[in-house]
Amino acid sequence: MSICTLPYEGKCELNVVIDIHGTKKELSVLVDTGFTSGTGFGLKLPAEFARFAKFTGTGYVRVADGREVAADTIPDVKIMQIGDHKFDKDGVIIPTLFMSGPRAIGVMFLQLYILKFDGPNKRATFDHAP
Amino acid sequence: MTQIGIALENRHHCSCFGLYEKKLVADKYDFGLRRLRWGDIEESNAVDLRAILGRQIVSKLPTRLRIENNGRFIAVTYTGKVLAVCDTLGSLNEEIAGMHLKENYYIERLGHNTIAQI
Repeated sequence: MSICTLPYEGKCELNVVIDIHGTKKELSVLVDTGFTSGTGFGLKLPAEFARFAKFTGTGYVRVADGREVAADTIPDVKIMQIGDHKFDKDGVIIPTLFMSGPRAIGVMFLQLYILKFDGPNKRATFDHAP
Repeated sequence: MTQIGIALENRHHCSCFGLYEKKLVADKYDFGLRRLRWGDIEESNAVDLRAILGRQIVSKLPTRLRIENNGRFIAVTYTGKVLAVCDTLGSLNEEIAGMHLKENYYIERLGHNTIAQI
């Protein structure tokens, strides 16, 4: 049985509960398979969410149009829940980038699961690896 | 108390750098911050300022360290302390996550302008 089933119509959004250094937030993020683990990050949140962090690491990232943009990061946002599926108290720790643009969850998290996009039936499912 | 440098030296929390350190590197790396007032700094500007200062701190690290670690990822605090140097951003993040830090830091890939392409 899938741990999470989502509507999928060209794009897919996942409701997550996250913990930023003790502050819990519930939000919707875009499932972005182009946000590869090679970036070193697995979650992109709005810049203003950085204020919940007890510390941040700042660095320059290159965005799609070639600009170098300063952004805050933290190495340890905890994903506590996806859809109705709750993780244990430690959650899943994902390095996170705080910057403008759509909120997105990337492959660093997605690769932990079997993710199926079912276009004809307009749904996506997350399954545990066997 | 309206200027960043003064506030830092008096152990006040600085929204720009998030430090409680008694003395920052402001004397060594002053590039006009003292002219700014608290109200002038919005969070987006604070991120830019942290990045500018961080880049300057890394540029002042010993040349040998920077050459020997060219291409590796480095994290430094705004007091100039090197937290970690790792081959990948992933391993740097893992190492920092285990440090239970209380202060902000700057990340750079030595010899590169950016740490990631998003």
